[in-house]
Amino acid sequence: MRGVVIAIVVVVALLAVITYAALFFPSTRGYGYAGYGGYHHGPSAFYWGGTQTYHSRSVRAGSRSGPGVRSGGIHGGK
Amino acid sequence: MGIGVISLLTAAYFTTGERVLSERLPPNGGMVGPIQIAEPNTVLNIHVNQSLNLPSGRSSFGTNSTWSFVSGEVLDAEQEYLFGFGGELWKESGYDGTHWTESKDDYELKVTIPDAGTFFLEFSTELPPGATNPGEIRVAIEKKRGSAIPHFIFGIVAILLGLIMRFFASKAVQTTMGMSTEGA
Repeated sequence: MRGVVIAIVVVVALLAVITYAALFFPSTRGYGYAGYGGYHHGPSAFYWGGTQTYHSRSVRAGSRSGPGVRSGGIHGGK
Repeated sequence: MGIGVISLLTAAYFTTGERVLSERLPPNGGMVGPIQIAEPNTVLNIHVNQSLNLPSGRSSFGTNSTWSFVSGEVLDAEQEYLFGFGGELWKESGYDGTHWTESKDDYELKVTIPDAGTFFLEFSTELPPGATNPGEIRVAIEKKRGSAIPHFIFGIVAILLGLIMRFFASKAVQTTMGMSTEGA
């Protein structure tokens, strides 16, 4: 039983180290932020805290601050 | 679990960087740049700040507020639009037994510039009618070492997985010890 537990721990640890190393690929390429994979790509769902981004000029046109965005302070709104 | 902590430290490393540009623009906006990007997939942190001045007089709610929507556009060397961003800044004050003031005077975002080259940022603002003397726009751009997201998520998952595994491992050891005691 103990041998099985040790084997599982070693396998999981190895997988974790491999995954950790592999994650340098997306990290050094700016994964998750607006512009990753092309200028038309928005930020990933894992990125929170950043402001809104727009990837088409036509969406912005004719609407203050883009679609569905409230403006006018905390009492404001469309 | 150790790899989880190392992963979180790696994520923290990727959030560090160096300031490449800091500019002040008129309240109605302007152009920032040129920004030279030496390598593809460079991560930039764009920090935008504008202080707002409250108009005199109060609304029917007994409050006094103003706002500014500051939008930015990322432009290439030919000043062609690539993508945009924007955020609302506001300031409000009132009286409910004591005077209070709340405000949001800055925002930031991280973007990945997929190509090397020369880029510009163009800012513009939208203000409410009768806005009084909004402050200048301050833009600071920092080049980051990369994206912290992959290692941050992996770090959290690895720590949780480590805790779960430790729990089950200790249970397995206890069961084994119990069986050997009964056997004796």
